[in-house]
Amino acid sequence: MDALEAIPPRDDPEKKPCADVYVDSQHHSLTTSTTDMDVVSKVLDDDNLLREIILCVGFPTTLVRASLVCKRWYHHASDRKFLSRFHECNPSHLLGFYLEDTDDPSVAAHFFPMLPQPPELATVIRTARFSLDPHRSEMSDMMGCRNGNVLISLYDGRDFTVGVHSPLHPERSLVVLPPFPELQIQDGYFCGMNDLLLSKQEGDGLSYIYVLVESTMERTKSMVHIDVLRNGDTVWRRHLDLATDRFLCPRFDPKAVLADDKIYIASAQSDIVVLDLMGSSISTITLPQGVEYGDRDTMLAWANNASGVYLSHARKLQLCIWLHKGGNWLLVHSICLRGMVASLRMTGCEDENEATAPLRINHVGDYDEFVFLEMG
Amino acid sequence: MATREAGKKMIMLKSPDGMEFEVEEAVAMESQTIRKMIEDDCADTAILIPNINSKILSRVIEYCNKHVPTTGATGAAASDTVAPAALAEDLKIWDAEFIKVNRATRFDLIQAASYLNIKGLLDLTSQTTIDTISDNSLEEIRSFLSTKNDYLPEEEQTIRRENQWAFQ
Repeated sequence: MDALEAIPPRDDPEKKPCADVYVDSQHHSLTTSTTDMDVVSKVLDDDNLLREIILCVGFPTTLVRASLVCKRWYHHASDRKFLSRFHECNPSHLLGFYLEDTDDPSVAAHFFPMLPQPPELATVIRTARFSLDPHRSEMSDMMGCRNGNVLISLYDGRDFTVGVHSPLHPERSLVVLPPFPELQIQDGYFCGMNDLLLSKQEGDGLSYIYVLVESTMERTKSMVHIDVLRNGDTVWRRHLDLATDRFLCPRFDPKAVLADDKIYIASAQSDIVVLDLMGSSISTITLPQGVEYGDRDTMLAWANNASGVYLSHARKLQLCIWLHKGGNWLLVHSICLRGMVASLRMTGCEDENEATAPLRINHVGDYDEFVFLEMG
Repeated sequence: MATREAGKKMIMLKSPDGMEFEVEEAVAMESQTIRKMIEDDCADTAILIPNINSKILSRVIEYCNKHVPTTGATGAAASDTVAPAALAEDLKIWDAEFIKVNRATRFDLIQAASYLNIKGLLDLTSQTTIDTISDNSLEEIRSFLSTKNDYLPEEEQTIRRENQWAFQ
């Protein structure tokens, strides 16, 4: 089973305090309204006030509709700074999730809306409800969602490729990414991790990052190769080669995440390897004291509101969420799930005996806003 | 005119058309602009509010009076007997009645809320204005806002086509 979220597209938010808009407006001089028309245009001609009004539309759907009023409204509604404030004031809704049965590839993934939803989002939910049936012959498998796109791994019986589907733009056809870059493994080295694909929003589309880790047979040193496929490009380009005198032991579970141009890869029993794409460096973070990777009990997620990374860790019926920031781990939430289990009347999960209550984290949403758990 | 209560500092707000409003300082400080003037000691006992006429200023004061947090002896008594959720619900109903005004007054209130920096009032007036976007056709919105459509038909079509998910 694999659950993936679908969220409406949004822009990379840049922090901007909500009170900003008032600073300028304080200096505006007002005149007593003479006519009805005058006062309306006086308000609407003030860019700050117009933005304040458009901000109230509340939903991405109504924002697009508002942009059709006139070109000036469109200009404001599509401005990046405005969009980041819009997202801050109107957080994204989890529309639903795609569910597939990984044990039975003949059953394609299907979309399940999270209900209830406000009527303003009904159109989006109708559009997001797509099925992978057209790609069934290629043995499709969902890899993840990013910014309204669904990444699908396609297998034609010989090779794997990655397809990108935009459920909200059904008129666009599936985009197939160029094959992953091939790398000649050096003599005396073995491949410690390949096929690690990450994506990030760039402009109105996605850029992709492919990571390959090779290590010496003696497990003393490692090399990391990073290739980038920029939004709109048709070829992968080598971005970075990083050598380290440490042996890196990357894991596929929990999944690696990309946040603020840093890649966080779970490694060994209780480490996170951090690849800094801008600073061209490798560093290591140790998990909070007492936390170790187990069987799908840990997840990493990127922190939008603070540069750093979230770590969700489940132990028995306790879910802990940590934030790594400024070199330290901060315990953000510690949630006891006993009440939830009891109210869901899940048989076999009532007690905290580990043997009868396996709790696995299936998926953590971006910004750590929601967690999908598997139980029983 | 409100009776002066013992221990409560009063402040005089003057509109440019010569009207004077005596309000509690706490009520006036619902406006961040006035709060700043008071805190910076720029304010005498009387503050002239330029360019907001008495009709609009009296409505703004009415809003601030209702929204000032209840503190002190009388406030504590009130919150002991009324649950916060009920208070919030009461305010919502009051707001809905308060904003039932004509278009000119509403836009005057937006300007006043912006100038005086009263976030709650700015949110309320902006929200009410924008609600018409969800409820009406584009043509009705444009005529309500006296805004001219400067899109060519094909430009409008392109935006609709590229953002089909918002329209279907």
